[in-house]
Amino acid sequence: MTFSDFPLLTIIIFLPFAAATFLVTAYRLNIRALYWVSVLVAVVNLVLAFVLLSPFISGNTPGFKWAEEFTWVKEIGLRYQVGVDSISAWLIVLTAFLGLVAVFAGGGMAERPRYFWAALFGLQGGIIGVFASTNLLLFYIFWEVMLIPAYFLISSWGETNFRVRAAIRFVLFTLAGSLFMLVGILFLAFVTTPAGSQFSLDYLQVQQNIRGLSTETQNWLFLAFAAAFIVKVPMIPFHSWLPDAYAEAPAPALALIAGAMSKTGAYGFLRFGIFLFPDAAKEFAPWFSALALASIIYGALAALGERDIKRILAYSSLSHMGFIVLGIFAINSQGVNGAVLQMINHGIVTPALFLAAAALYTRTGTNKLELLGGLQNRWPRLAALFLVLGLASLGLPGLNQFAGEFLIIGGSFLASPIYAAIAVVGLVLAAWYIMRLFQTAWHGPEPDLTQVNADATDMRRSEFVLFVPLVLLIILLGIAPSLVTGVLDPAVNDWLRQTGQLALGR
Amino acid sequence: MPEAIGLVVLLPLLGFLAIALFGPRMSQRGAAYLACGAIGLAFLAAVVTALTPLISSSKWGSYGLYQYDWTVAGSWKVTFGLAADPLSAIMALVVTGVGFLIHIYSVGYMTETGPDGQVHPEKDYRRFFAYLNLFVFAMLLLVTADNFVWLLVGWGNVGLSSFLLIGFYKNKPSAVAAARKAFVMNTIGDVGLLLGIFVIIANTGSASFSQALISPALAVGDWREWAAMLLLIAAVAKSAQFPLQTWLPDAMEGPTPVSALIHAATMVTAGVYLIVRCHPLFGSSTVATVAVPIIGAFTAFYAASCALVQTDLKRVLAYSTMSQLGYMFMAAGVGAYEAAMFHLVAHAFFKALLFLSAGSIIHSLGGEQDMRDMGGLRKNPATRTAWIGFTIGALALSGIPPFAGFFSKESILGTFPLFGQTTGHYNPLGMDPIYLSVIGWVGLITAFMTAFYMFRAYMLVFEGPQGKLHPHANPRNMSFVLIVLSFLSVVGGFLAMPGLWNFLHDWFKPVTDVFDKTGREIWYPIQTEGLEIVELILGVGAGVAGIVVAVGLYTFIRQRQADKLQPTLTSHTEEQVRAEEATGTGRRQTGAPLFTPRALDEVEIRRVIAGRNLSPARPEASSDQPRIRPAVKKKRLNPIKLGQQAMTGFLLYGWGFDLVYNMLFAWPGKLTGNLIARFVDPEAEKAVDYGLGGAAWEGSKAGRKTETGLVRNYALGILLGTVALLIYVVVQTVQR
Repeated sequence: MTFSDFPLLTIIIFLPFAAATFLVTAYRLNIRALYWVSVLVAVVNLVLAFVLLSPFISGNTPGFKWAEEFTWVKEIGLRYQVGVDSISAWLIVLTAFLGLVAVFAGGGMAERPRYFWAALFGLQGGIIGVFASTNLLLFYIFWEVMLIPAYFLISSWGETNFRVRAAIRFVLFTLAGSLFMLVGILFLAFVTTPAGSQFSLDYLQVQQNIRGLSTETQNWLFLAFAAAFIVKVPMIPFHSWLPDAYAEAPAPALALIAGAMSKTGAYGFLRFGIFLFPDAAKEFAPWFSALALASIIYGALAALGERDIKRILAYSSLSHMGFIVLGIFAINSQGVNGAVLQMINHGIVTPALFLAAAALYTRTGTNKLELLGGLQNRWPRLAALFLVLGLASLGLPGLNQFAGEFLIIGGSFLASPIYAAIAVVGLVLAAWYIMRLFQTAWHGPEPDLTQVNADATDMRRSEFVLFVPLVLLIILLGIAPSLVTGVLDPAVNDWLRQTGQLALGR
Repeated sequence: MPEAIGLVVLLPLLGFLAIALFGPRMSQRGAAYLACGAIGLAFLAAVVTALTPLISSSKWGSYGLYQYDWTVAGSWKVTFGLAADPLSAIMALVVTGVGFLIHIYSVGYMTETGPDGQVHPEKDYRRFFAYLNLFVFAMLLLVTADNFVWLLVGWGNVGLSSFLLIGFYKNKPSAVAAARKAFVMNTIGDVGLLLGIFVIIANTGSASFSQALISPALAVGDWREWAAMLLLIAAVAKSAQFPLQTWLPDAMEGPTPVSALIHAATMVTAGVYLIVRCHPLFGSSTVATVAVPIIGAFTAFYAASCALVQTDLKRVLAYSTMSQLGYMFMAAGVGAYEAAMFHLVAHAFFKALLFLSAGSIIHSLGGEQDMRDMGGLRKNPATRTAWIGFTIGALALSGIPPFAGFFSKESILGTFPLFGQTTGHYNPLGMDPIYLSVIGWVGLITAFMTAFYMFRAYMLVFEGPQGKLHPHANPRNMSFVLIVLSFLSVVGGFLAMPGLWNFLHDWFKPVTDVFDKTGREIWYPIQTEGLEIVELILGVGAGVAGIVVAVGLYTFIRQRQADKLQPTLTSHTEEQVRAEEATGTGRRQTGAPLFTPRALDEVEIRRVIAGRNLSPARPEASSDQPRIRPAVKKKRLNPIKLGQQAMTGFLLYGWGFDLVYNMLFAWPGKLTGNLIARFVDPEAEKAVDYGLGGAAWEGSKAGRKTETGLVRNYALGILLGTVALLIYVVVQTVQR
């Protein structure tokens, strides 16, 4: 662990919260000015996140860097401890990037825009905090902090009358899961601390303490943590909150919710699952792999049957998150590297797809697939954008999601060829439902599109500014995923080796 | 120079990007010329690459050009790299060469005559050329990649460009459906390849050809069977072999140059390329040496049988392509890689020629593809070049000397001992010669069928009375391309002649030097000794017999039809006939009997008298058409005729595989999806909302009742609590 004199990490975590506070309180300022301030803050945070990542680019630097700590509530082991390794640094970069995307795309929000951007910043800060915490209780606090802005984003800016119900279901589901984790954390605090020593929920300390626990205790603790993550990811059968929440949330909010927040669950499985409870994780790996495979197939089939564009994308997200969890529970370098790479890839592609769907919605006024058709004649560039994003989503070789899927399925192949053989069915189904989505909306005969805005133009300049970088990233990370994996690989191998799991991987 | 291979891949990519990004600022023709230029230069670069052995033979067979790390994870390190060796060079030459010709052809083909009588580029002209360049780029990446992962990148992207081009007429539902079907079925192949790559990396430790395929691990292990079978799924999907063949006939929805380039000359041969590229793996796998030839032979026969009855000219050629790919699989399966590659190259020439000739006819007839509406085009000056091209192509496909198909098909058939001989034939695993001879005979019968269906098509299109459509002349560049390909279809065959000479073997020697070092004789060259006169005669004889039967039968049918015509009904004017036609005939709805045309009805007689074509195979007219039938003539059930019609329908719809696959996969998939999205999940959500939510509501209602506000109730609660605590303390004390 390397401590840092400069509180860079703290700044990255709290800059969004500060921005949110500023947005809510500075009601005298002009709304456009506030918007540009928000964009500026998001840009600054992204730059800082890259600075955060920079020490890892050079190569093998095991352990946490940029670490900071001070004692907060000594009695319950709550110390403010943050630090990043290259895994969390990449995810923070992703979150900072998506924060920028969300704020930029949310610029056109008509309804209470200041509060909308504030909620986005709040969510971003919470997510970054989750990725940066190296103290279990702090992690839990940030975990719950995420819920509040996410709740408001869905319930206040949702698209239909069912938004409040969707938001409540989302909150109750995630809360129910995370309370199990809270019990687990408290247990760790009070029971596992060796006699005579101070309470500590320091990640590295807990990692040591856990080795002294009985197998059964470890298993229960692992399951308690997993309960929180499995809902957040989500995996079937805990996904009931997902289709409605994604269908309701406005696209800019989804950039953060689907792009970054869902990754906190996967990250939890990694950091507080297989790295914290290696033996229990190994024991339950077949179960979680099976659930992941079920999610892949179930989500893909649901996407095939669904008729609403946003819900198709929601189910597709369920399917893709299944791949990420599958990679993590392969418990080898290939699978874990692929999973983290895929968190980043999915975090670029899914927000882009939701935003593109929103761009289509603003032109047609409907998300219903059966009302659309033949739109490529009207807006060829938007069609091309949809196609590229769809291809990335279905894992076309050469685009970014393929790189992640390659490593994930490769890792699960090493774990068990059966997993890989089932997982690829998800790829075939993805080709099917994505092409169904794309072709139904853009190809085929043009139905009677009464609700189509006849004046709607093809992609506007602001949309180019939004989507071109996303598409370039999709291509770049498809051609050279080593930009990410080259940085991740040392950390992943180091953690796996420390927890005695590298022998499994090759 | 081996480095030139980088340019070969890069130029089409640049062409694609230029048109895709700046297309709207270019003129239509400008974009087309740019696309042609990119491929033309790529062809020159491919020639430069192929000349490497003349300059320095030591650099020939370079792997890992332009190498960089694609991804790293644990012990896996996958790199990007290009290969410049005889195999990639010959494929690059074919792809860029034929690709260039087809680009030039498309400049003329993708035009239409506007209402003002001028020739205009079709709608989406630039998009078409952008897609074509994208395809050529992907195909070149596929054939020049020096490792499996980048082969897969090319593999996936040719699937994408195929999807885009099949669905080029994007508002036509049948084209859209065909495109999706092709894409999904190719994705099945992609994932097969993906899994195969994992098996290979896990067992050899590398994904690059120059390491994995010479690995000592290839000497032993069951993994070879798994790897070969998984790669075979990919090869079968891409090359439209059984059981993943059904997408190819539908792919004919694309414009004809696309069918020529992608679905005949290049992309569909990728499966053969994959097998030849991985021959150390396929050759050492027992299952593959049995499965590949059987799949090939079955598909060759299956597709030829379907081609016998097709009424759409392009579908005949599509099934023919499938059938010829079956030949290549047969050869590659038993180790005759040279013969497979030879047929691949020759087939690229003459099948492109056939498709482009067909396209030329279709274009000059304004988009008509149904052979029953054609006829007599031989005599028409507008289709003269197409006639020459088609005839040469058909002769080459039928294996008539001295056309290219003769040499290449003989190379394949010569691999199989037709009479179970054990000497002088390739038999690496000591396979039963009877088994090999059965495959050989299937090939021979297919050769007969091939000649038959080609000349059936020839007779329908070019001979007989003039069809109802009148051809107009085509742009000159289309004719130019046909002439060049005709020339190649003649000289392309002189690369090797089984029993006499073989230039190909010298060409491929660097490949075998690198990959067949293990000592096992896997690569079976086309033999230059021991010319088997009997097999040669049988091979050519099958083709000649097919031609003779087809020409004879269709001359006979026409004659009989002409005899039956009774020119007595002359009351109908041309306008009336036209009006009747406009009410709709059931064309293309049902299969047509092949050998005996049914009795003619009066509508058709009138049509003939009005100077129209009498097609020999017209289906029953739809019921809404007014028909005049003699009242006395009672329809009797004719079992022979019924069986014939059933057989025709069976073959016309490709043995009903589409239906079976729909029932097994497509419909259940959609059904489950609908079930989940519209029933299971909404119901689960309701159960959560009203079940859990309702329970909470009821629970709180019950709980509320305790809040009575009466002091005596609370006092009772306090009392009960105190008693319980006391009991607990007492029990604890007693126990201690």
